[in-house]
Amino acid sequence: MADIPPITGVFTSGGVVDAETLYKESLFSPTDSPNNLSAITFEILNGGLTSDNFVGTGNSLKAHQIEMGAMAQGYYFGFDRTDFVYGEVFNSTNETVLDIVRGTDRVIHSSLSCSVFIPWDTKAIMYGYQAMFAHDCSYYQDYNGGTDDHSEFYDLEIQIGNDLDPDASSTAATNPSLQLHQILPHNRLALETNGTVIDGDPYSPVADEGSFRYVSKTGMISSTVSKGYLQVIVTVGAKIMNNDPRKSKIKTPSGSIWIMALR
Amino acid sequence: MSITTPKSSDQITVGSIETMHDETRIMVNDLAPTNIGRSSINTDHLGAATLVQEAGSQYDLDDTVTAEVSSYGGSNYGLAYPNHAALLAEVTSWTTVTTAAISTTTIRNGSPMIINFSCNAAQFLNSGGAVMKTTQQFMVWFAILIERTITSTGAASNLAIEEAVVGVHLQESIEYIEDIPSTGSPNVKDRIGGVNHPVSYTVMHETSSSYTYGTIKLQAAICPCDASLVGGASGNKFKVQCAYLNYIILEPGS
Repeated sequence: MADIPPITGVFTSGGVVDAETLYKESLFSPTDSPNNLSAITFEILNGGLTSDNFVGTGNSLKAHQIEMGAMAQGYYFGFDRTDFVYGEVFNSTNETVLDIVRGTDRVIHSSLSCSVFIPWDTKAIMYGYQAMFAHDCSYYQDYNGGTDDHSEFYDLEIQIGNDLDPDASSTAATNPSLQLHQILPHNRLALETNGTVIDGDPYSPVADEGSFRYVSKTGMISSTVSKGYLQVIVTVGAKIMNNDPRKSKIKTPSGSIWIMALR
Repeated sequence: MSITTPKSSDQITVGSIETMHDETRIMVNDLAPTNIGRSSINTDHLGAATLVQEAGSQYDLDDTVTAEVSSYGGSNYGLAYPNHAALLAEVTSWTTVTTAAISTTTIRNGSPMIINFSCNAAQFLNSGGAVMKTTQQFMVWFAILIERTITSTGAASNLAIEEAVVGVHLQESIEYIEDIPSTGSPNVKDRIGGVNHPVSYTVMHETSSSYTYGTIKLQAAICPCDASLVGGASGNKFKVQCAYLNYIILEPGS
């Protein structure tokens, strides 16, 4: 505990104030070690006090007495101009992992990603995103002359951490791509009548707005994360079979990404 | 508390300096909360102090909800309850999608507990488990159930957070337009699958030290939205994917 001693009697030369004694005994004593508890001066106020100096009950302080950002720090980015990802950028391969169907060729959503600096070790991190997605996905009935139906989809995942692999599927705390996975449904029809879906077949080219989705996901890392930079990324995958994938796209007219670190 | 300083016309004496030193050191050595100014405490002073008592999460990637809202057979189709006891009984009977365990047994009184959940309400399934034609006649309900006991007696005293009970109408469109003939109505095709509704919400509960908290459960049930369906369980189900439940318990305020 920093316990500043009294200076009664240190001025011995006839009761005259001299600057050197005042400085050494009261304000700052450069020749004494900081560990010399019998020679503590007011220099200890430069960050040397400990919790033992506090006499409040229950170690309780008012919120305004704590510097903003000392207990929690956050980041938020919102946008309201449309972001486009076209089906043409995907190779349409997909897989089923633990009952979750996902695209295996993924791109990072440019508006729903961020890199933040966490200034201290955390006890918990909350993060997430919200966004409106307007997409084009067809439901192919009797695809390619067969009896099978095929559904296109776009899907969304979120990862947090460093050195992230956007394609990876995982349930790890730093890569909860499966836990916070969201698939966007088909919303237009392509009906085969001539052996394969071709021009002239019944086709609803305009995506049904009723199947646009507003997605909100919140994740949690409930273990310690060391201070430093941290990435949060939303990735987009797809299964697009459209004859002209340049026409199929996923639009994000508005959305936001956020992260809050707590100690 | 203030420091007695010499007036501008006073001579600085040993006594006045000793007085200033004493008044200051006494204040600093035993620092009262009232003497700590705005933004005085930062990470350098906080040591291992934390804002979070406990946090955790749990997930279920794929589940089928078979429970149906119990008021199916009555005139009040949908969810209807007159009090918390009735709501708790209703929610308790629903399908548990996922459960998060709270390991801290002594949560301080008045602590904010923030609970969040998200999922993909994926598909309607018929009684045989097959993906069925989509319909607007059903909705799903989700609820947060906190299992806890009265600390002094050990008796169960579970809680269904009322504002955490939410119903989701699953499908806006049930048909695709195939083509539009020159006369008459458009030809339509039934929509199969493709529900995939993201569902999420956040609720807060203020803890009480009278209880020992055990688990947080995400409950769900299917429910009709049309009077013609009232009158008995349908056997219909729905598939929930990527259910993610998390919670954080913060330190209470003073």
